[in-house]
Amino acid sequence: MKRIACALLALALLCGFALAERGSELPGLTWESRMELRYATGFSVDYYEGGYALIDVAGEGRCLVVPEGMDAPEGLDADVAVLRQPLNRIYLAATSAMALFDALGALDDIRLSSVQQSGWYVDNAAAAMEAGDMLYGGKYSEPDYELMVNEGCDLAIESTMIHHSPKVQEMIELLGIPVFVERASYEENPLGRTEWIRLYAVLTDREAEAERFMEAQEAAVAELEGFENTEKTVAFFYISSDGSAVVRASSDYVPRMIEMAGGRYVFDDLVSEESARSTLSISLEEFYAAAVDADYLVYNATIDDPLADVNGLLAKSPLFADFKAVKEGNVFCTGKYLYQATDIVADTILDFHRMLTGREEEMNFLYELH
Amino acid sequence: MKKNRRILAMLVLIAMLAAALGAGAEATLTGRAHRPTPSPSTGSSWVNTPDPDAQDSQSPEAGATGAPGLETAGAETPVPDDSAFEPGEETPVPEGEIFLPGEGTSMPDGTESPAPEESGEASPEPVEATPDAETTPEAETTLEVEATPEAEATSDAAGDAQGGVTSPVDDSTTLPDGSYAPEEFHFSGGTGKTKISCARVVVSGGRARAAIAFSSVNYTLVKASGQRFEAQAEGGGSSFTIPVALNQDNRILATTTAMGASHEIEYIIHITLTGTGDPGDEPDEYEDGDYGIDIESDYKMFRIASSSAKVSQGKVVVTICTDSVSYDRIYIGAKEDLDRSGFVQGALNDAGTGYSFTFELPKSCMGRSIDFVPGKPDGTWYEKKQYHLIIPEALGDKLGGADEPEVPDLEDGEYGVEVESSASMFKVVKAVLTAKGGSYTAVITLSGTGYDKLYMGTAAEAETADAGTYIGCTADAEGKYAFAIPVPALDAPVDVAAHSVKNDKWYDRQLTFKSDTLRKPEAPDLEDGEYGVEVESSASMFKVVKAVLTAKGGSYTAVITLSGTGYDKLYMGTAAEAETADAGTYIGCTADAEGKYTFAIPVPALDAPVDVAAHSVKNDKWYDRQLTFKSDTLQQVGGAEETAAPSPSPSPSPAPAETPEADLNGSTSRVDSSTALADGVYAPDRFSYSGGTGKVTLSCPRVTVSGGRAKATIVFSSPSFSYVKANGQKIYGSHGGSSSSFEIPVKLNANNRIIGMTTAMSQDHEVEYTIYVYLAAAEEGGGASADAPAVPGLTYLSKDEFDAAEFFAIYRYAGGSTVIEVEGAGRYLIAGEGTELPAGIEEELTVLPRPVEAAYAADEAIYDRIACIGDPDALSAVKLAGFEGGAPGFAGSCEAPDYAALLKAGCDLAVMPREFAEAEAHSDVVERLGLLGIPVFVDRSLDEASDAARLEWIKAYGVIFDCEEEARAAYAAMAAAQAA
Repeated sequence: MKRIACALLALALLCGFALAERGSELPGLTWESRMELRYATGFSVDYYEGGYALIDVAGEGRCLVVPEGMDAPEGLDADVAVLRQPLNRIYLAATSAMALFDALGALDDIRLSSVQQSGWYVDNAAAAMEAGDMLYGGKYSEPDYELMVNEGCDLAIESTMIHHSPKVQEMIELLGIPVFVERASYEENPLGRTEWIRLYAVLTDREAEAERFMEAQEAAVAELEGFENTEKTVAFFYISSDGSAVVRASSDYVPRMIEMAGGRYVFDDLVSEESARSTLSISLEEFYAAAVDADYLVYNATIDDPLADVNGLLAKSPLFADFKAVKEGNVFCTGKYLYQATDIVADTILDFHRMLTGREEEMNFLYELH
Repeated sequence: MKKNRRILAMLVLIAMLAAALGAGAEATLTGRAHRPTPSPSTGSSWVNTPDPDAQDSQSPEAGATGAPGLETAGAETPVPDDSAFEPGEETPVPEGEIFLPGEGTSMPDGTESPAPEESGEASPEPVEATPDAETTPEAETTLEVEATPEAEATSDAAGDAQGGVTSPVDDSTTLPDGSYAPEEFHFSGGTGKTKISCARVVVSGGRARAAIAFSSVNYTLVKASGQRFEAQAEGGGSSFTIPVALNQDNRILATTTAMGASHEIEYIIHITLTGTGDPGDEPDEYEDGDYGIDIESDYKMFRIASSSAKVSQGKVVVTICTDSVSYDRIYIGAKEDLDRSGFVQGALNDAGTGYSFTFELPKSCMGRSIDFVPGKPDGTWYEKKQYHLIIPEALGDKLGGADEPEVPDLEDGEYGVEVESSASMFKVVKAVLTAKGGSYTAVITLSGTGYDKLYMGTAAEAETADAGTYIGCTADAEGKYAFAIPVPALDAPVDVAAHSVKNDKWYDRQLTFKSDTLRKPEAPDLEDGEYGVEVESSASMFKVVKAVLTAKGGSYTAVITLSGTGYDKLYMGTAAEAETADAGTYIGCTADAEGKYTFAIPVPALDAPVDVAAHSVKNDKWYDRQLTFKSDTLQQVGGAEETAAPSPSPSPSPAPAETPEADLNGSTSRVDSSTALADGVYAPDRFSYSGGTGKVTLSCPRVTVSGGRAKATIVFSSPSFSYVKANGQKIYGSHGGSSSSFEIPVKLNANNRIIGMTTAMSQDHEVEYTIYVYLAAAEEGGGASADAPAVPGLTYLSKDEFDAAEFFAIYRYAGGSTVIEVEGAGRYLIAGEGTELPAGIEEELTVLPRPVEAAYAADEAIYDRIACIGDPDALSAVKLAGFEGGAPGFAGSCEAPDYAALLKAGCDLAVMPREFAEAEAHSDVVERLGLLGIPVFVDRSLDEASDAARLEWIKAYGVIFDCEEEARAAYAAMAAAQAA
């Protein structure tokens, strides 16, 4: 009996530990809830009594959002950055977030941009810069420190590129400005990337707007549920200046989008040899072998210039004339500004869907090459 | 029994519980793992590894992807402005998603963690060392055992060495002595990966010997007929000449060193030769000389553009030239071979568009496909598939013409002649041959300025020859290089080694003066001057509507106007040559007043078709064209001296080609490009520039002075610059694959402001640069001293005499500029009022602000020293300090300054103590101040040996704070007090 009792106790304890859902413990704060994320896996948000929120970005670290007028709790771990609300003089060097801030209606909170006015396709951002409400703060690797200090910048939102310039991050922090590094681009699920809007909503107190936005995106994508895959193959690529083809790894979000749209990405088990990167460079010959029979070619013009017509593609290599998609007239190109329009994930999936179902005239962000 | 049963029941229960626990625990754990939100605090399972490719800070722009906002790793937006991403640059693959999922992290869709694959890939084996490569020892053993009973059982698993034996064969034959091609050749054995071929059978003294070759270079030894034979040649494979019994199976043992260890492999070869063919059918011996040869590769990405063979003393050395730079080395052999140390390194061709590979080709390779593996410059090899070089059966025609009957000596006189060159980059556009008493000399003009010296001989000879025997160049009217060389013979290739300016290297070249193109100039050279002339074109689409020919010193150039704007570039040569030529040799167009395109081209001869390849804008393609300048239509128009384009004239000339479009925006101003330098082509002593975004680099390969005016050739590292505004003009240039080049009038040794227009990003952009072209010879005055820092653009005057100080010096320059040199710490430049500093000077010296508005003094000693000058204005400029309690605001100690405070105060100079002189000390602070744009001046007064020397440092502060008079006075007073 003793043995059984011990065994039962052990079982109970184990289950107890396993089942107890405890959020991150913070000294002096009472945990309330955790944000339920539906698609994103790269961050988590824990809510605490009093309006505090702890954001944890996998691989980057944690930061605590402190409501206006409140203090940071004592005894906080040194590695937790403190972000004091209101965060409304932000230096944004992660360009993909701009559209999300716009969708939240929080553009006013961004004071400095790492992109010049002429570089913004997010209309409202360009307009804000035109009006002088948003200033050019220098590119991420060479920010205008003096301007940041003089403008009272209270947060720098950077992309992971900042890790290439650690001294810059250090300098910003030495000036007393916390640095937040976003990793939305690491999400595999396209909607996962969009869900980062909910993180920015926490920073700017706009959770309701974020919810509404997510619902709209999900509704758009839900249209596609149950759609039987056309089994048509799509190659998504661009030709780099050294003549090699740059494609997405099979586990990347673009193939996912293609799949959600009802197509198949032409590489079904492509993994980069060096590490699990999402894009990789392959020789034109390998690309030819894999994609010559693809039903559709979609040229990624966000890096390279958009192609005006199929000749532009042939100019990159005459080999393209052999491609089935070229012969059948199914060559498409992305618009140049797509990467900035974070708020239209669903629409891009729909565009792929339109491409696959012969409704090219309805496309908004892809266009056909003749 | 009851008790036992109870125990049994307990045991069963425990077992079940244990199982349940295990299952439950697992269920809990896996249940957890499948939840969409992993607990991120299970450590950083997502590791961000900086991408070694993406070094350039701009490369993140490459990271953007087509999907909306779904950027890879926060790629920076490509911006269509100054910080624009120019497609000319290499865009490394975006950093993107590098993650190593650790335990506990899960993908919502349960994707396999890439980690196992990753580690698999990380294995050092570059080649699939698969079991079926070559032979495994076990397989060998089996073979051996099966084949001959007398073979020793050599099966050691590690791979045996030379254990097998062969028996002597009867190699006698009744065939007459001679060389025969085998009628049939079969072999069996081995794994099928290596092929054996037999090029010929030589019968000598009634005995037959077969020349066999293995398609892999790793065969070192063959045992045949009871004897051992070593490999004969390298290159395409391993060859051996062995005795054979004709028309029957011969057993041989071949030793291969592939796979690291030696393996002996048995083969059976069977040569059918019955003598029904004629002996000596094959010309197996080629006479020494150069031959064409048509070698092809079956790998599309390794395109052989041309190949040639040189036969010398029975050896054939082939050179294959590719027109792609993807692969810079080849390994002749199977892709399974691990040891590729004998690879052939390719040499980059002059145009940088391809590589040439030279290697010996054993004659046994003729008519065969030989394995090869192409390798990339980064050291990796393309091993996905085995590719081959397909060698024809025989060499092509002998080059340089067969022996011809002697041509009778030419009559004395001058002749125009066409010269064929061995390399397209070494093109002779004009040659005038002078015959005198049966010996010939020629003045040849090259197409480009890549070569500045010639040597009558091979490149190897040139390297070691006395420089006095080199033939130098003379720039002719258009700046082309002409050389006077002896011509030993006509119609035969003459070795003329050429020295490349850019690579500082000699290249082998051959020139052949074609006697059938000799033409005595019908008319004497045209008198210097300008002529209208009619030009016939080979194609109606390439119509010259106007041409002005300029004759100067017997050479002709012309400015031609085309009927349309379809062509934007010309090249003096064929379309094929244009494709591979250096963009610097392209001739760009200039739009004239009516918008028609004009080109300034050299005219090698009148009344003869001149190859002028034309580049079509629409099709982005070069077309072959010929133009003939008809001498009977010449009509003199202009006078002699200052002729029209291409030579610039002192006043903005009306000559069409030389009037680049006037810059209507007025954004650049006219410069005074006059110079006292003699006409000629110069390499700048220094070229620096500022402006732009840092993505594009500028260079200045040469300065051309003509008619006393200087023009600099500025090359942008991107092909997208379509024009440059400079000198108040819009100047068009030429573009190639990776650069754009422009000739711009410049004021030497001065800053010049130019604006480049780039079409990258499909939105035209103007980018401003300031360039500084420095030619020492053009300096007025001068008198540099050996120790004084040479500052381009500043004429050194003198060095201050000091009484005692040793750790600093003050140098004076014209215009009131001063350089303070602090021993071991650096050089500081304080510019004289109104002096324009050369662009890019910050790279060489630390430029201090003038006036100083908000200095930071690190400690009291420094502050006091400045104070003792006694100038209140100077002292008030010290607004910040590294010590508390003083007049300036405390802004953190010098070891840990308050950067935010410095920035807020607009700090423009930090004066630091001597510890900062050592490179390592406080390098982090120096770096950070550098990031913030705050220059650091190091005060080493405390290193001085005496009080007097320490005192003398106020002279430095006098310069820095613009209070030299006060400083001098204060110094004089205090020095006197000290001495007293």
